[in-house]
Amino acid sequence: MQHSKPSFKSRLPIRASVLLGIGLILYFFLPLFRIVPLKEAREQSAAAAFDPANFAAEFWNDQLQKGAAEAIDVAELLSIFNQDRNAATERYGHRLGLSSNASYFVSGSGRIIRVEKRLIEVAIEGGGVVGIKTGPVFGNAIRDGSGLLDVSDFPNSRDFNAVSAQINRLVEETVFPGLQAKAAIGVTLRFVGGVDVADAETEISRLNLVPVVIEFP
Amino acid sequence: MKKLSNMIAALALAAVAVCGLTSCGKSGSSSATDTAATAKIAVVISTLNNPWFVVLAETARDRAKELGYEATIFDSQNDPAKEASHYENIVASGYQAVLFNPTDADGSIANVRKAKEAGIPVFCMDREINATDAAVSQVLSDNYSGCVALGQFFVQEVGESGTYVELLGLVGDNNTWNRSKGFHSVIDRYSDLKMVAQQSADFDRAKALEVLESILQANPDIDAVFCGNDAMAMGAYQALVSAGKADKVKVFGFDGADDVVKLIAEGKIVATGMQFPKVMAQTAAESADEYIKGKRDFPQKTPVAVELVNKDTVGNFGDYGRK
Repeated sequence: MQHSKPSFKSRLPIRASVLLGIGLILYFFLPLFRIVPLKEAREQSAAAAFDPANFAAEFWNDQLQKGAAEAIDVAELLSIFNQDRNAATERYGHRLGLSSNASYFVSGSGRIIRVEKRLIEVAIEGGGVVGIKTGPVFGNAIRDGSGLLDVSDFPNSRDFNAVSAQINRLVEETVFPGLQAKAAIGVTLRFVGGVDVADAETEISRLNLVPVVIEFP
Repeated sequence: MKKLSNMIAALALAAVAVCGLTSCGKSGSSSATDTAATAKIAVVISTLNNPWFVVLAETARDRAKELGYEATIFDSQNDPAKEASHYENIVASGYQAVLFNPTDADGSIANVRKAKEAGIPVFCMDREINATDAAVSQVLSDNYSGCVALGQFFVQEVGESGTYVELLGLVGDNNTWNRSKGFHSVIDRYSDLKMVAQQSADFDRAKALEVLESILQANPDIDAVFCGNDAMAMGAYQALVSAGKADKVKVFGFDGADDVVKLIAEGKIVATGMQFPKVMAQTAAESADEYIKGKRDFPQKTPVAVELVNKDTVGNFGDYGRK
């Protein structure tokens, strides 16, 4: 008995189904376009945008705390300042571009000798007095003093500046509460922080640093 | 006949190739000074309708000339379309470098890329583009930090409570927002300092006059005006003089323009931020010269510090820089 071959017409639905299946598989993996809800598209766009708060938090935890171990001893810095400010800048300072000011990342220990509304004064071991801010933080003392961030790595300076503002917020939220609670004359503490210093022609009465780490022994 | 025409074409191609090689050899062996003597540099400026930008443009042009180049200034008149048209001319006219003050941080990127594709290096001055792979380098005022310092002085002068107006510059320019954000990073921490109006006056003196006159009608009792540049500070001061309020309302500018520095010395304007346009223009021109002579290693961004000019420091400043 001889079976007759299926006709082209009878095989057409099978072929069409196979082609449609292949097409669907290709579309799934390599879509020419994909329709997404507007809300989802906005969320994706926001996720792709730079998040300064997130960047600053990661920088604070991953780089800044490690960098704190390498901060220059503030007593040593003050000693070099008294001899040659330019030499101190060359050796330990960080300048942002063509700035005349320099920023430093410093550490030290000492005893609180004065408590003001937004600042405490500390007599440091090794001689000298520094101020530690306890009020609102402005500027870029930590971002620039740490020397760990480069403006050229950011697509625009707005992001670079937004990171600095977020770092300042972290200081206010995580460092100040503990410091303000225990700040009293006679209390000893260990500190690490950033400080901006004016050019060599400007006389400095006192370094006022922005703290990153405060420890009470 | 066909063979003959093929032979002529081949000979012509060979002649062109030989000429090309010869001329390449000549330029390759010529000294950098010879190259500089014949090269042209374009100075493309966002606007010349502001003395500060005139200083930026003329300093860039003059420094390029001192370095041995033929230099031409192109005025974009704050119009991205005009800027694009300048770039088309520059690419077609064989310029060797562009000293560039963009009209728009995003919109100007395409022009810089066009020049880059044509082998023309671009060096941004004062204003930034939002790309780090297009211009060779960008010398920029550290607007944010300058306005942080200005904001702190604002609180010192106006106090921790009061009402103020902010006049913004061009909304598409990063400098506008770096200045505004730097200022607000300080001011917004004082909840009793209330901003009653924030409006753009496009960095323009006449527009600032109009805008503040209009704002004063609804808010006649403001304590201060913060302006995103000195041209707007001059316009704002003029509006306050017309309204008879110049003695009561404190005006703050930004740029370090000579007329504002003089008014600070006279006690009529409170403070500004000195931006050093001459330093930026000279640095950009010197970078272009170094690039043409073979240097390739430039930092993408070089911020230039802004210094506070107030009644105590005004004696140190003049002629768009430190005395």
